[in-house]
Amino acid sequence: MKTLKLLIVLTFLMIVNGFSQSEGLSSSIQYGQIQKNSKKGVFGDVFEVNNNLITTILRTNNKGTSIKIQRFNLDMNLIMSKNIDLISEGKELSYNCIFESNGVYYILLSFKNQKLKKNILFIQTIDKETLLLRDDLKVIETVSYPDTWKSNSGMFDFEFSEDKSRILIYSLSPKLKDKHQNIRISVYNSDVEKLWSNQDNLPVIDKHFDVLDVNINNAGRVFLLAKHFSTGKRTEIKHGESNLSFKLISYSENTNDIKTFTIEHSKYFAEDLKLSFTKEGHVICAGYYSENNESITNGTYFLKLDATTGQKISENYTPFTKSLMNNQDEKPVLSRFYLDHVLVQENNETILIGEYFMSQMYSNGNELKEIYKFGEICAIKLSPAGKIEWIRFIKKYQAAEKTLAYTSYLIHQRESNIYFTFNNKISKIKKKHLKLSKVSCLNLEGNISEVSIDIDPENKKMLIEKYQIEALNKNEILVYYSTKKKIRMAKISY
Amino acid sequence: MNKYLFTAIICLSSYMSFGQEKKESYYLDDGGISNSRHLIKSNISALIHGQLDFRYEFIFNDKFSLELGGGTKLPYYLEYIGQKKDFLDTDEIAQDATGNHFSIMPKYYCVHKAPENIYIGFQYRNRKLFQDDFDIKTEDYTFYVGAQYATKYRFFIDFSLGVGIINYQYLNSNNNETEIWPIVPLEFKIGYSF
Repeated sequence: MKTLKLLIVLTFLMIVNGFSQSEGLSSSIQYGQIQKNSKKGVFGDVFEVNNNLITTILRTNNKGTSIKIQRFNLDMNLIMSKNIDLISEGKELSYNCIFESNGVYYILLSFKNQKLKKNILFIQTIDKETLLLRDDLKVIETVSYPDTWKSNSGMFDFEFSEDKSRILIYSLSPKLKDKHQNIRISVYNSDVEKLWSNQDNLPVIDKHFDVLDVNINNAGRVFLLAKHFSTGKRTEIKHGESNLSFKLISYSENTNDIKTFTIEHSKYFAEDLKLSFTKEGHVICAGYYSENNESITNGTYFLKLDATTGQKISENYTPFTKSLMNNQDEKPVLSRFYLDHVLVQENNETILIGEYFMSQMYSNGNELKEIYKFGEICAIKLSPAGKIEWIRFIKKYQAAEKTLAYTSYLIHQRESNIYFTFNNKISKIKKKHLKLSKVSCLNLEGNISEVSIDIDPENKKMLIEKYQIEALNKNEILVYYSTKKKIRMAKISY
Repeated sequence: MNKYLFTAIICLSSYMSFGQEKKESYYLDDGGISNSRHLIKSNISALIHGQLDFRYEFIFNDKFSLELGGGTKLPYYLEYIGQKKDFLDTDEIAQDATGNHFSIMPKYYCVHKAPENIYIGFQYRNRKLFQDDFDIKTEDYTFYVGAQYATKYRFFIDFSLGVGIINYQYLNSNNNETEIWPIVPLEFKIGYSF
């Protein structure tokens, strides 16, 4: 009898264990040292990961005029740390970003000169061995703001092409009501040598445009996606009519070679659109469309353009159907899903990744508070022609009083698998103990497998505010996260 | 001939290195605006209340500063919101009263970007009003939330809203009666950094 009971218990334990390690996905987690995050709200960036080392940067003050560069080994032990004050000729420069290209560390710094009324972007290199700034500060871009305050002095941004062979640095002049914006574009190679720039001779960005995205393909052609409100008012859809269209503008070295494509709709209204590129360099602009309401998505929009000629290769609106959504509604919709990623695969299939999000006001008796809810992740696979092949939902529920700073899940693609790492369930409003607690794997066939991550008991009370994911190698990813008081790395092996 | 050539090369190389240096130096030269630690300000809203009020702010670091103020009364008077016109229900402050004041306010810049962005401050102000029948001393203690931004060149604007109390008493009198009133001052100042 005792043996029978033991057998039943053992069988039960095996079933439970087998259930939690579902469908062949398993993981282990290793935590790095805890570091003090003494400056509230300051979080860093992993900017280089190679076979031996992990290099990170932290801003050590709110102005961004002081940074700390740290180097860790692959066991996440700190090897080297350097504090750097970003001062040149007695002036404090602000940190913008750092990147590694062809074995050199580059840092972009900015300075607002109130006398010249110019916002200036500088580039400087960092010695890889000593982690100290080299004496090679160079001006690479300027934005004038003669008519505005210092706080509205235009913006700079940079993008890498997918193969990292081209670097785009662009600037937009300050956005002012009833004034056009100027765009300046510079394209560099991976050694940060300027290939071409159009700094003063590009057509202005119309005052009715809201720039959404600027990107560069591997051939070095630059694309700008903007919302265009024909009447100037920022109403998107009202009474089934829209004043909104999208403009896709492409730029090249030749200033006469500027092409504009307009996404206008006779029946539907595209909403969330994002840019991406195929392996051949063609432009994919994809997202959701709606029939009449901006928070209701009725299907997907897909546009493929020839990057050089600007000619349309294919355009497709695909409505959601009962069979695709696997529900009984005659006209199924997605409600309150927002597009986060457009992932173009090597075979030109496209995966759209979106997430449910809503914010809600509630009263706790004394005061009115806002709660942010992050729900399921929706993955939609589109064929090369842009038709929906399948739709999958990855279950999760997260609620928090403060918005989760970057995103509520981490995404990482390895070969034909897309991994989502997230806090499985957060429902405690007052004490939101966010833990990286689940990994879901979605393969390109649409199969989902899940695994829970064991949480370090020491880590249980850490309140994760911000996090970042990096691929370490084929089998491991690095999660770099911060709480209000601590910063830590964790390595997850699949 | 060689001497001339050598001189020309030296001149050319020093010109080139000057030109090289000039670009970055030119863009970094803001006339010392970004390193300014001193601000003088004029309190525009105080003019409405009949005060000529000037301020001096010293920036200690990214977080803290100290604002000192002083000024005189103008020949008119308008009470702050919440403030009563008559002192002890009998003695009204005369429009043509003369007077002076000084104030001190430590400030904390919440996002650590002093002298710009949102700040909180606690102000103590002492005023003396002189008129024919009696003189009055007032002291107010006010907690401010404000925001200060750079506009053109060295100019700043400073908006703030305060909540506090004002305490009235006779000056140079045996009457020690006091009266306390709440005040909600709204202030707008323009400043110049140097």
